Amino acid sequence: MKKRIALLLALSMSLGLTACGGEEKSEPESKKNGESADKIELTMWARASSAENNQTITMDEFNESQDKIHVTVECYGDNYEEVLKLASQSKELPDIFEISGLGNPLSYMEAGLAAPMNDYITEDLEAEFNPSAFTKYNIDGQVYAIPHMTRYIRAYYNRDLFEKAGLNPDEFPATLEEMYDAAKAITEAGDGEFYGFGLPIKTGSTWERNVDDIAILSGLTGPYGFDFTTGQFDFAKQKPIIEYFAKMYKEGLVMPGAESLDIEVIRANFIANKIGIYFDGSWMVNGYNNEIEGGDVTNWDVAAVPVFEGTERAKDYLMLESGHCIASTSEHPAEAFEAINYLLHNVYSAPARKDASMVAPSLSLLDSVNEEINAKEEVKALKGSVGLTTGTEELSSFVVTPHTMLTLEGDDRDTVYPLLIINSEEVDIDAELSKLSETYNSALSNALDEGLLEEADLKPEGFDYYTR
Amino acid sequence: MNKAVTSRNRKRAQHIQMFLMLLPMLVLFFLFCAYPLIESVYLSFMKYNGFTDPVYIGLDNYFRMFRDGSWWNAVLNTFQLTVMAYVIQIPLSLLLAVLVNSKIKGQNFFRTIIFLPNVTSTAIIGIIFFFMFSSYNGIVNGILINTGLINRPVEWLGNVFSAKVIIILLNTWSQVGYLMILFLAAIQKIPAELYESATLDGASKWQQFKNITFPMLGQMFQVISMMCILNGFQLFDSVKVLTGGGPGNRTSVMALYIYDYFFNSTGAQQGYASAVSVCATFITAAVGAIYFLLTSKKFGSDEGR
Repeated sequence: MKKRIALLLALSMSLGLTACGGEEKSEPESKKNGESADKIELTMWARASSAENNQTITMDEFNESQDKIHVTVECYGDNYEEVLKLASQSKELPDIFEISGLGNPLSYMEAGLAAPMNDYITEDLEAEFNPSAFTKYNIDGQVYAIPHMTRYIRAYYNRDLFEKAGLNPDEFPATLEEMYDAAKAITEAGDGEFYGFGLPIKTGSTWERNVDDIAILSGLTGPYGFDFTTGQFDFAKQKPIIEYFAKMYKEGLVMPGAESLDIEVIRANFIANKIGIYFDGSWMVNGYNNEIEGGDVTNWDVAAVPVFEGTERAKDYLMLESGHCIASTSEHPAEAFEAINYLLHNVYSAPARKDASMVAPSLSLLDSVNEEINAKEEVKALKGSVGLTTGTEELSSFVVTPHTMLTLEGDDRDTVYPLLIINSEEVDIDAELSKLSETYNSALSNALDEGLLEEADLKPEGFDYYTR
Repeated sequence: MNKAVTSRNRKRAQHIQMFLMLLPMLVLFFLFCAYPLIESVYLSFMKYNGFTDPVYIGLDNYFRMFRDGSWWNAVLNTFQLTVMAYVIQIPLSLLLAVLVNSKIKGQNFFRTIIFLPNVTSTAIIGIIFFFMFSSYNGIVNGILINTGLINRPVEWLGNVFSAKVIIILLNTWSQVGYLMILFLAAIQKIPAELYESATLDGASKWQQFKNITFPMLGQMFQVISMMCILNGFQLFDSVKVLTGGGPGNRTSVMALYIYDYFFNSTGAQQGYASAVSVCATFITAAVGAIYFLLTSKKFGSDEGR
């Protein structure tokens, strides 16, 4: 009997072992395909959270479109930058890595982790794109990444809540004063159920989306309080805007908990009909229409961000934080560029080709792509499309964003601004803003000394926020 | 002669044996204590962002630290929170120890209940407290609103004062059980005869506590106090989860300040963070030394006992 049990055990163990062995040997589907066709294998890392996104869909299409190169996209979500940093320390970068989601992409390029693309950029490609695409990630004449997405800020508002507050949802406030009144009316109508405005203080980019955007539209400063007319940081110029939000916060027009809420929570509450108005990126039109659950049910809309009464409206702030780098360690830079080039041209059209229900307005930096996609009837009929459409001539980027090149010796803007909003009564706003400008300007002069920035870029001749 | 050599050999063998036994521990000590310590002193003289080559900048990081108001504010907060924790936790845990040591019903039940928070990770307690006090969907605000005491949520964690109070509350709740157990162990070491004779002499409970329990705690009191103080200086997880140091670094503490500079995703300054952490080590060591110097006179005589 004992022998029989022992035999059975031995048999089951050896079966188990063979099962394990079999598993180890089996390789991912993609690799098998690649090997059989003798393709060049490339790896691309992306910031996206879900495994099926614009980039993976486009790269799948690319893999099928030719039989030379196979790209495997790996998505890392929130951990993306940590993973990339670790990989760069151990020199194990993928062939291609995405720029979105990196705190300071230029630092990777300056550290020599990315390969220049100049050899592969043809005149035809250059002619196709908005010129700022080639200046954004340009160091000493070498292009390290080409942005493909136009990102800009819009006011997202809930039409149902506007109606409940007795406001006309077809007419979003044109001035900040009117927006304050609207937020007040919505909060009063909500009586604790819903609130006028959503301000995710915990998210660092909140100040870029709210304060900077209004400052740029009002011709006061560039991003992060940098004034291109003087070549210096001047946070005091943003004071009226800070005070505006502080007033809304103090009077309870901002959804409670703002100080500890991040943008995701604000979005979830917006979709749950708890927030009347908030500012977010243009890409959320796609996000709400296609990705976020309930986004298609809630009666939301999009409008331009207002400015103060009597202020002449300057150009919209075009953000270009997108693109891909070829790792300097990649053995196949030319093939990597081929993949990136495909992405540049197809990242907005590929998802719709794959699934006709996934229509979204195109935010491509290529006007031709936008014209083609945005002219479609189903895109025009999408929620938010009308408020979103802006000719690229109304959008403009800044050649340099100096704050990304600084090593600050003191609290940064994202640390100080929450204090000015939450504890506005206790702090001396003028003193805090002047201290902030001092911190940034001293770091700026260090960066100039170290040659990280050029004086001429900081104070372009004849710079004007209205004609830039 | 021969005998002497054998004994020397045996001694050497013993030393080697001891060394071999200590070796795993020593390896771990050098790897995870000594090496990081030396490395951070080295980095404190460098400008280093975590992935490009470090650049030597001499004492610049230290000069900068002395000018950095936010850092000294974090140091001040650490002192504030430590003192408050000490003032509340030591008497409270001693009181609880005396209470659960007396002959009350359900003695073990109370001991377990009071000790229980200590087996939970501080980060998890932090998250629970965050959900309790968060102004959006927080339990505390929910109760206050439903009972009609307030009509709009209170921003508990947005206000610097109330945020600090909540941090102290959290730490007291999680620490007091542990300190109580230590006090309990010390109290139970006190000979029962002392209490018996005191009772015979007609001493009241308070007199017994004042004249027997407290003095007899001796060095244990010193050690427990020291632990409480050092815990205060290591404060990190609860603050990180509850306020993240905000608003505007006003509730930041030393460890969190170092963490923020070291692991900042948009622009880590690991050199500066290292300089600050060297300073934090000195501050903590100095406070510990001063405390021991001041108290060793008082408790030193116990050593001969």
